[in-house]
Amino acid sequence: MSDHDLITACKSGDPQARRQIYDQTIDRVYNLTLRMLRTQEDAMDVSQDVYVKVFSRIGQFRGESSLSTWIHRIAVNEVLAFLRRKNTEQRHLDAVGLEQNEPPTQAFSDVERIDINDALAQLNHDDRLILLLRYDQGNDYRAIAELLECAEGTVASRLNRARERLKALFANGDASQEEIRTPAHPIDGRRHETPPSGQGTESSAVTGGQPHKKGDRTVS
Amino acid sequence: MSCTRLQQILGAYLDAELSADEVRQVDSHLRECTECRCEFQSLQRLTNGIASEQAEVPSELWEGVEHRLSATPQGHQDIGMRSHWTQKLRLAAMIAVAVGIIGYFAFVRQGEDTAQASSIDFSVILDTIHLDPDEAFSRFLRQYVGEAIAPTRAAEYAADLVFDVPPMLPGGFERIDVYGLRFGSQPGIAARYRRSDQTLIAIFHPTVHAEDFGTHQDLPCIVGRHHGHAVEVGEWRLVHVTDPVTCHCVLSKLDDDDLAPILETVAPISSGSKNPH
Repeated sequence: MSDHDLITACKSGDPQARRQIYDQTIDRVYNLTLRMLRTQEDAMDVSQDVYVKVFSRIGQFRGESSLSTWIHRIAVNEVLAFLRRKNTEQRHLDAVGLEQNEPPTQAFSDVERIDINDALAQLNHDDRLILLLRYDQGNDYRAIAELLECAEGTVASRLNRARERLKALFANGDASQEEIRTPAHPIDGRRHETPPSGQGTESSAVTGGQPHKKGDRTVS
Repeated sequence: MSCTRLQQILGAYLDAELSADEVRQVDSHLRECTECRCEFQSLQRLTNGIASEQAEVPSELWEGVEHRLSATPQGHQDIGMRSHWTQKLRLAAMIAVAVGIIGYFAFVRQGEDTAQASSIDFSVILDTIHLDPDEAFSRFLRQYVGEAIAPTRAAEYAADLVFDVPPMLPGGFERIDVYGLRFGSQPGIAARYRRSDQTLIAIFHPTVHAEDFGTHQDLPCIVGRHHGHAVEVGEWRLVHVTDPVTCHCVLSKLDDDDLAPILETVAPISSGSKNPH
């Protein structure tokens, strides 16, 4: 069934169409929410919010982007809104002197084995989001720009800033001296998907990275 | 290519966003320059570490979506409510057993109130503000039970909020009308201002309410001394800044220079806050 047919069926309340849209998009939505929020409970709640909103507002979808981009954008907004609510709640707790779970803010020790998720958690939401959209989900600049509704140049500069901040979290600002632990989700049952990284070609002897062509994966 | 130039485009090289010619130049430089090569390998190692194994999606997630959709045919009323649905299901079952059908309906009503109170849906106004601002504002008023009140009653109507709706705003905006709003059980205020054919809308609500912007992107912004968030829709922009008790939301077509003094007026104690919600 094409996107157009799916949307039409979904607008008329067809449960099978809803399920098909969900099946086509949930992996990326759930993995983004899980990496951003870090607990399965929060990721499930926010993912549910995303699809309740998607199916409640499918009538407002005007086809200006692909359906998956539209859904992904809703997911990004829901995640950021959730984190802002959480910050507000934390400030209220702080105001009345209740216990808080403040993450550590110092750079990692050069002797510890680094979990990249811990490092990401210390970044601000916007930095973490753009790093995950690029390096976990494999979106190119154009796709990220479409998701965040900004210019590709803005994506490039925000990525530069986020990479620098991430790098600065590692002792002496040099992650190359550290063992960076593969991110582990706090849940069982996983499958591996190698992300794209590095522009070096197969003939390039210097990068050692996986060959990757621009635009290998987009949200569209 | 100099090392300085290479450092400027190393990120784009890593991200496969350079042209073929630029890639060749970078490759050539990296072969010859140990320092830049180390820098690149460090960056590559760091970003490779971000990629994760994909988590398996819990099967009960879809069940939760279906449950919430079937529980709230007016789907948008449920949006933004933190469901923790498994706990609520258990709670609902206990209540139903304990107090029967009447108790069950009481639970449903209470849930609806909570939903309305827990999230403020700004997409109601943002979706059509660029087409007809007055109609968009009217929709928002209908959604949140707006009632016209005398401006002098505003402070009393929402006594816990800190805001101001003076007759005139900087830049020559004249107050047209003021409304009391209901966000669940808590009050809020909306005011409409006009300058020639330009409309400006100010909305004030308690900070305990989450804000929902639909499909619109909400990003951090700084306007004058105010740190907040902004959603742009065409020429329109919703800027919201927060103090400990009040979220001040201003919808206008104004740029930062014109908006800053207005925020100073309507959000008197949020200036300089670096903790936007």
